[in-house]
Amino acid sequence: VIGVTGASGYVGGRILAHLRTSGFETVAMVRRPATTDARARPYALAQSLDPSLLDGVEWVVHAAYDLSQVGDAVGVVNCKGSLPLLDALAARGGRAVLISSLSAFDGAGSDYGRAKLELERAVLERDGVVVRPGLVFGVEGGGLFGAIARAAARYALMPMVGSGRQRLFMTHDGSLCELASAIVAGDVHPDRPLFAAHEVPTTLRGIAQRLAHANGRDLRVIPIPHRLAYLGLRCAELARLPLPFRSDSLRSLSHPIPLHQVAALARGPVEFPPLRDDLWRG
Amino acid sequence: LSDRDTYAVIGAGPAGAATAKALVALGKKVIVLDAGLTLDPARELARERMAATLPQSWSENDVALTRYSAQGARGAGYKRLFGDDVAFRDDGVLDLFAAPAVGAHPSYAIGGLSNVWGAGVLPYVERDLEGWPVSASELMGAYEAVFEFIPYAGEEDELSARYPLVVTPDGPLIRSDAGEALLARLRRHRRSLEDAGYDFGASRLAVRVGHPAPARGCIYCGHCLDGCPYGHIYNAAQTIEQLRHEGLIDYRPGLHVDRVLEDGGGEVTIEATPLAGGQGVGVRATRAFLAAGAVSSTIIMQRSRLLPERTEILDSQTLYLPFCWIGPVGRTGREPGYTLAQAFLVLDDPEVSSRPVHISLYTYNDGLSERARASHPRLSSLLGPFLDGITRHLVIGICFFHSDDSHRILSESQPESSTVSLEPVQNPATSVVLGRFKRALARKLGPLGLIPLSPLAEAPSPGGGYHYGASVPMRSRPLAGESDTLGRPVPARRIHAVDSSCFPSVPGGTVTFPAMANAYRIATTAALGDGA
Repeated sequence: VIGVTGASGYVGGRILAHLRTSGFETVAMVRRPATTDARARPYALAQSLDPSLLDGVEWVVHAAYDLSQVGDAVGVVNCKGSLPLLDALAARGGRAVLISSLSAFDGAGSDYGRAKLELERAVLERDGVVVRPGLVFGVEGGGLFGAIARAAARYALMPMVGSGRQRLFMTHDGSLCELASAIVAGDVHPDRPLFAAHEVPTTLRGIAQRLAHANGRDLRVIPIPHRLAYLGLRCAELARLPLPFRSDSLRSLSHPIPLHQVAALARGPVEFPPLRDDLWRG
Repeated sequence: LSDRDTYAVIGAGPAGAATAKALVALGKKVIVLDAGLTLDPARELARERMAATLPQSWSENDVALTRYSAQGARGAGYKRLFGDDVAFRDDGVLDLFAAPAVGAHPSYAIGGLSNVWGAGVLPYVERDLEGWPVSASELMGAYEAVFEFIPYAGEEDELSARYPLVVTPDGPLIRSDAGEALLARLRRHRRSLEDAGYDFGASRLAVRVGHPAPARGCIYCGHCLDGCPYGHIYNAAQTIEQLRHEGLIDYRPGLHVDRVLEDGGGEVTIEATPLAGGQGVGVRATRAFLAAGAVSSTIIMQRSRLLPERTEILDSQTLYLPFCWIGPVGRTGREPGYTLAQAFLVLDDPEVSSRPVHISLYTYNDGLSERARASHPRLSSLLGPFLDGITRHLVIGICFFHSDDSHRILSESQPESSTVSLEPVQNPATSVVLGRFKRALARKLGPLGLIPLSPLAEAPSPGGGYHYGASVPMRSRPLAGESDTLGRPVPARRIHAVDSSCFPSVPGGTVTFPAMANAYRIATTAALGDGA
């Protein structure tokens, strides 16, 4: 049996569905199991484990992450909060697949990146496998990619911090799912985190322009100075305004993983395609 | 020493490595005679320490020792390997007088000039081979064979239409932000650039890409221009060392080959001077392949009476042309990446020259601003804190012209003397072509935001770009001073010039790779002719 945490989120949900259609026996480990899904079990980060949570479970795909936390709480909830699950799993001889991120690297500037990195260490220490995707895209387009796609379809002008020149690696959700199933099938034995994205990076601006072109329009970018954007976001956060984008994400975006660290990551058996129109338009 | 049925290769540079590979593949007994100078021990140790760790753990001392410095025995003009001028160090046998206006110099290092190679690997196509008795299709099989043992970074793109990839590259290198933006802009103007005679695309380099790095490929440490500590930029020394390690060749370093003589009995005698001193050595072989580099091979042929005492070596004129790039340089430009050529540009415009001009484009890297500081100290201190911001928008084009458009080098050497002199021979057409070229680039690329800074352009003296050869040109019906299509200087039957010295001309392009392929072709054809 393969457990998937964060299965109600975009990436976790896609992986769960893929594992199911590939014939794996799976359980969704979610905060509020749907009554219609008999194979769902309750699980939440930083909360006590349900005694029967890991019954029969050999692998857990750990995709749960609480984005609502800020400051020190990020590490406490996401990293320390995952340890009971990881320990209980290891004690039963099970292994974890952590869906980490390319924002996690030695010297990462964001709370998100640092928390993921700490979590990676915990997973690797327990004989787990770490996967580092970039910006995930696909037909259902969740997360940041979905937001860019919607904006690019609607507006001809888009404000972008630092003109959107930040380097980004793109991860097709289908390939990420394939990689996850290859890992739980026991086909991959990396000694370090797995790079899970197309090898050639692009930029936020490049993505937005590409999406706009696909809709037959041109996109103009309004540059916003990085410092101004960061200050604005910080002020809004201090004023506790609800925001779609956090200052911490901006830190991740503006300080991408250095290329020499990308090169040193392990590669799995799955090819990751570039952002092709047929892969996100459906 | 007597070695019947032995094939002797003279020199362990790119042509020598390719020749040895070709002969070994046919099961021949191969002996490689080479001066074989190596990196100085302190630098070699530093390189080994660096290769054993990740770039973030390199010690400052090791980095300082292996980085380019403006001081050195030969001055700033010579490219260095890990800070050492080994590729151009003399072996002390010849009294070489090279006029100050000549940049060519023999290389006595194992690996030869590939120690300081820009690693560009673009095949010559029919257009480049006009006037050659060898066609591009004849070279194609040899290109494939060479790609079997050198790494290959590149990708299918606009350039592939005219310059075939030959084989599938191992993968692309991740370009600098400026390199990426520059190629994207050229692509947007593809139609009008093509109409003006430009071909362009990602660079193709003999660089290993593979994961995980640094064990299997480039780790983007940015040390390229000083040599790759991990050995991921191809160096012919790697092939020689590997063949020697596998016991497939008999590598004899420490020998300076003086003459190659053919006797009536179907054998060749190679006379060499040991660098350690003592009696001259004679090696007998079935065939001898001269792969010592165009200057050394020419001198050997002159001293062997196979070439006249005054012989011209053709050069492919080099031009270092800085551009100001008005375009994105990226927020990530500060971190290292690979620092070899990011893109190739080929200009084939009859208004400029009847021959194509090749341009390798390098974008900003730390080494560039260091070099700018070293070569223009006063200007740099004036610009002070702005220098970094300015150099970030600097793109360097290294341009190579056809030998028809270039100056030449006269090599004077007599059979009985160890004195050799290299003198420049001016070609009045060169400055005309260079001027037209700079104006054409300013007209076409300037409006695209790639503005040539022509007043800052530097044209090194003949040979200074290390692309030269054609002292014993291959012809279908060779006369004295020329060679047949197997590089055999008239009247020799068992002596082959296999490096660029046998090129009928030196096209503007990446010379090393075609030279390797041509050497491979000659060695294979000659050895096959001898039977098993």
